[in-house]
Amino acid sequence: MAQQLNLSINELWSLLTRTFEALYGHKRDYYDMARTALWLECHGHDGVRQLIRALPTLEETDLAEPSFTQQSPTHIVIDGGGHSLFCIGRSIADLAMAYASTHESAHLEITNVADRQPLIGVLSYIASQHFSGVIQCKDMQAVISSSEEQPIIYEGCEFDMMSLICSRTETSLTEELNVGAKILKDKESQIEIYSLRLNRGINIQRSHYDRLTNIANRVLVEATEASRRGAGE
Amino acid sequence: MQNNAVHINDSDLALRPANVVMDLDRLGTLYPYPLSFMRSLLRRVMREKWTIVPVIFDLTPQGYGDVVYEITTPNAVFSYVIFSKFLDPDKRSDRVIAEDWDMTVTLCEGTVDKARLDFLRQNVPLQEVGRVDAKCFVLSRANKSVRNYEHVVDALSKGQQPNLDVMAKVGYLYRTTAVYGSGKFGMANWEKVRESYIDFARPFSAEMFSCYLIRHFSLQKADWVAKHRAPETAVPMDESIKRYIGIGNATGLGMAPYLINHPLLIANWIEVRETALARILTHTVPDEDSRGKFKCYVLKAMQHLDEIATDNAEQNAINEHARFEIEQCLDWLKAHQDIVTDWSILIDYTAENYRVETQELINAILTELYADLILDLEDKLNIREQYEMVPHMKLSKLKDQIETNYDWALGCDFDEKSAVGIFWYRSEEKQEPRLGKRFDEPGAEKEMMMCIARDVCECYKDLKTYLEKEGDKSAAHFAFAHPKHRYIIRRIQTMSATQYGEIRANLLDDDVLPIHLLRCKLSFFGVGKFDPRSKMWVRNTMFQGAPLVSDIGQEFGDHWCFPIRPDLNGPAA
Repeated sequence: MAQQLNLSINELWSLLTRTFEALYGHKRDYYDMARTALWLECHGHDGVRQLIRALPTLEETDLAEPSFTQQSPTHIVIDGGGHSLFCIGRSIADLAMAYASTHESAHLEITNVADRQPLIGVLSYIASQHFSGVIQCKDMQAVISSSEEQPIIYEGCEFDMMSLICSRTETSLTEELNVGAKILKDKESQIEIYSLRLNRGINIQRSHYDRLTNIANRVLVEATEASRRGAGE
Repeated sequence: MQNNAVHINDSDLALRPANVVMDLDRLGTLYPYPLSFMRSLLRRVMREKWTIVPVIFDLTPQGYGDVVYEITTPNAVFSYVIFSKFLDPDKRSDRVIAEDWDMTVTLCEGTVDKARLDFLRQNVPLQEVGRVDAKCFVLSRANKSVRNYEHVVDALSKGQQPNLDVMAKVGYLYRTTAVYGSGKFGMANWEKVRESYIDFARPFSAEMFSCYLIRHFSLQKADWVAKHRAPETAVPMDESIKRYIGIGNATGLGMAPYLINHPLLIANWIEVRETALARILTHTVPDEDSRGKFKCYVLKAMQHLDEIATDNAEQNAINEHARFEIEQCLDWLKAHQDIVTDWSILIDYTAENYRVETQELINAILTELYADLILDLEDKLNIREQYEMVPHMKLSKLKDQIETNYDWALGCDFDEKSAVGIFWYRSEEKQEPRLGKRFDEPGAEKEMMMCIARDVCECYKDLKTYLEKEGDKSAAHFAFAHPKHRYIIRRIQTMSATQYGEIRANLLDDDVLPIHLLRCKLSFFGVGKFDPRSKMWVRNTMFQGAPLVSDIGQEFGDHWCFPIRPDLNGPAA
């Protein structure tokens, strides 16, 4: 059996939505979690591999809800409760934009999260809302301008804490970036990867596909004679 | 047909209100109209004179084997690949869970060589179990209507034409049971189709074209088999009878979630339709000529309704009422033509005196009458769907949006068991969507998100409590505190910015009629002749009355709405 499987973007989208639906039911916005993972995979950020890595956390049922540790108009600290940013990344981005819309910019520090990379997947969401955004952590830095669809990814910085800065203007963000940081992934390469994946599909490791499918299939209900009547027989 | 409408400014049009238009009972009465997708597709095919030729027609005398049609448009070459086989009658089923079919097909880019054909032969007949690639963009299958097919082949082989009474009862030889596109099973994503195959860049255009070519194949095959069965006596089918033969379709619950999961797209289709109607009511007036044409369409629609054969008593009653009432309407118009100086007067009269089905039938007739005024709107049927949160929106505004745009949902009493008696779920059998009885059957904990009205109510309740406790914070704060509402919040925010918003129905109610959802979508496809088999699935006919492939390049009038039996002694219907 082939080690890799070629999926269309839509097939991967369907698999991811069902996976997150199986994990969270209607208790969270599983569509937007899937969007984060799909965006990462389609733009060359290993979304599926990261998701596989995050599964033990995503399957935890007794994690605390994220909460505010500190709230001032432009400086907010959020305790992620140990969650993966696949799960809570977009909600954190929502808060960053809400603060930035009233205070021009917002600086959120994010503690106690299980991973960091998935936050890259919400930067295009921030830009689509006409905000610019910067992520800084020791693994990477990423910046997106409100006029772009792809961020630029830089090597990490020395901060222990992960931060998300959101702004209505471009200029204030450039000051936040570590000067001289090496570019790990530029916009053009992400556009090219997306185009290739749109036209030729996405290669997924079969073991990853099987693992996600096993989770996704939890949303399916056993077929019985009664259930067949429920289809109109 | 000329496009005379490019100069029209739609900004001041008085559209019908959402509470009228988005009512599910009304949406379940919609008829096809000139902007329906198969109508739009065929206008393009005829206008651009696409060529459709069989480059492989390798069939046994019984009609089994491979066929490849090559399609040349002004922009590209495509191939339509058909695998036709003998099917054990015991395996023939309309259900999506079937595993074998009389014919399977794919539509793909470019030409097909032997290696490609071999690859497709290994996968296309397997349908959901096979894997195709991103050069394919439709995958489908169809089964014979055995009785009709045998009747037609038998008659032709004896040198006779098919009996029109038989054809009128079931107006097709083959019936599709699923038409897949949009990236399923390895096919090209919709985004690729839209960007790379501009001939099929309108919604469901490729899927409709596939159905059109199944119809074409079914007609060619009937001639072929009759000729080989009795070479001495067989005759080809009369072309006017061929035009009267469409392609059957069986549609079940699988189509319903699409309407709920794509509310922006559906709201847009509805807005385009209502814009078309409002344009006509604003920019035209009845005169002798248009009254005469209106009468012709009404008479054709009456005959069409007379000729629909279904065993469903309820549908028969609906058809009979509609037929009776449009005849009454015609009489009323004749008697009051002096006062009907504006089509709105007629529309108001029908709204006050006739059933919803009749009202929408009259609306559809008006769009046929003034099609040239609305054809430019077909370019507006595509939109890019985005359901983004507006995080900084104040909760007071979100509350207003719910109260204004979701009052219909707030009016549901979800404490009543009957209001949540149904749940929608996916079966492990091919993930087929099904309905369950919440209090009697297992699986409710896995229900699909078809519960928009209930989710809005729950969000509203928590929002009011949060507002009182925390003050008028942002939607982002509320969603952070109540993550289960984040999806419905961004949906509310998105749909509140549209003219028509959501389909107004509680789909969990004991009395829900999913068939209304199916008919709504099918009307946008251009489907007619509904034959409900239960409240959950419907047989119908596509492309009945449509021009044939052999008509491409001939004069074309786009008048094939309300198909009726051909008059074999006169001009084709």
